[in-house]
Amino acid sequence: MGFQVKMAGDTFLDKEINGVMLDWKTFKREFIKSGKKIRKHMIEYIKSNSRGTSNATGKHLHQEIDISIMNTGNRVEIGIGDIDNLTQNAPWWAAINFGMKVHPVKGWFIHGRWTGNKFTYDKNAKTGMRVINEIHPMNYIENTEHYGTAKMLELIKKSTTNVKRV
Amino acid sequence: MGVYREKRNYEMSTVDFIKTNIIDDWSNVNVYRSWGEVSGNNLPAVCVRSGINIHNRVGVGSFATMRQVTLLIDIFATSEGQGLDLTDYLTHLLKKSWTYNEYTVVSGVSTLSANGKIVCQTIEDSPVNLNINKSELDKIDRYRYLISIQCATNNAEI
Repeated sequence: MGFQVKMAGDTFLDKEINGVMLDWKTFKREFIKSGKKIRKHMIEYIKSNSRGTSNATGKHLHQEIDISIMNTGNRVEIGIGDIDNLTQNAPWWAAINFGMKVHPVKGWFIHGRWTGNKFTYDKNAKTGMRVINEIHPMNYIENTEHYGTAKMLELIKKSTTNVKRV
Repeated sequence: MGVYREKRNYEMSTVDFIKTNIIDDWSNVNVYRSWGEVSGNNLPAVCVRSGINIHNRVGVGSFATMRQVTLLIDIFATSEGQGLDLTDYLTHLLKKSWTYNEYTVVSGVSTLSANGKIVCQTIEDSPVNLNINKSELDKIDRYRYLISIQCATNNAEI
């Protein structure tokens, strides 16, 4: 029996539970609930630390944080923030997480790559990401990993007190 | 008189620990406490920041808490090899424990007193991939790495 939690493509928790009989059905249900809370935490963290205008149209990073759940007989896995989806719909996700000291002077991100083209920000439609100053790192992935680890370990601790010994 | 509180004490204690050790083993690596201090003129540089802090109750019915801190260490290197080696050096240095100091500032002079140890619980390092070709990045963003540490002093805070 085992479980895994992935965030933006990186696995940060991967455990096998061997030799101990748990109430597996309840554990899976609680695990999935915790995974959804971790995703919600990431979204709230991004929204509360975001510096963008609230009137901006177009895609927002926090709207592209999705969750995928794989639930088989003996294993349950959660993935938060699909890299392909983020690169397609919110290609500035890495710059927001890690920060950028020197902004590309003119242009915008297309499909995760800096185009180096001339200034193409559309002021009227408010589309494109125009970078003016350095981007301060938000580290939403690292901060959510810390929160997620604490949540999951709390769940394991609770579950093992109800161990059914064979 | 200014007294630093816990987050700043964590950051400064870590900065001082890295500075004390790095001076013997590396040359001209600057260590800072804030992201804004790193510029293209002071590379290679290491920057220590505090991230999310989780406060766990010490027991049922108690209002005292124990703090778990996320420390984020940004490495700005001047070459890939230097970045890889500096990341490994700092990971080895910070995976154990170091002194937690409490800082007081009087007329611009800071004094510190040791109060326990900061113990590393988990440590992770990763290269910073901005999804942009390195040739298109400025030198300051080109060779970056990030170390993320979860640590605690195990001192209860009332």
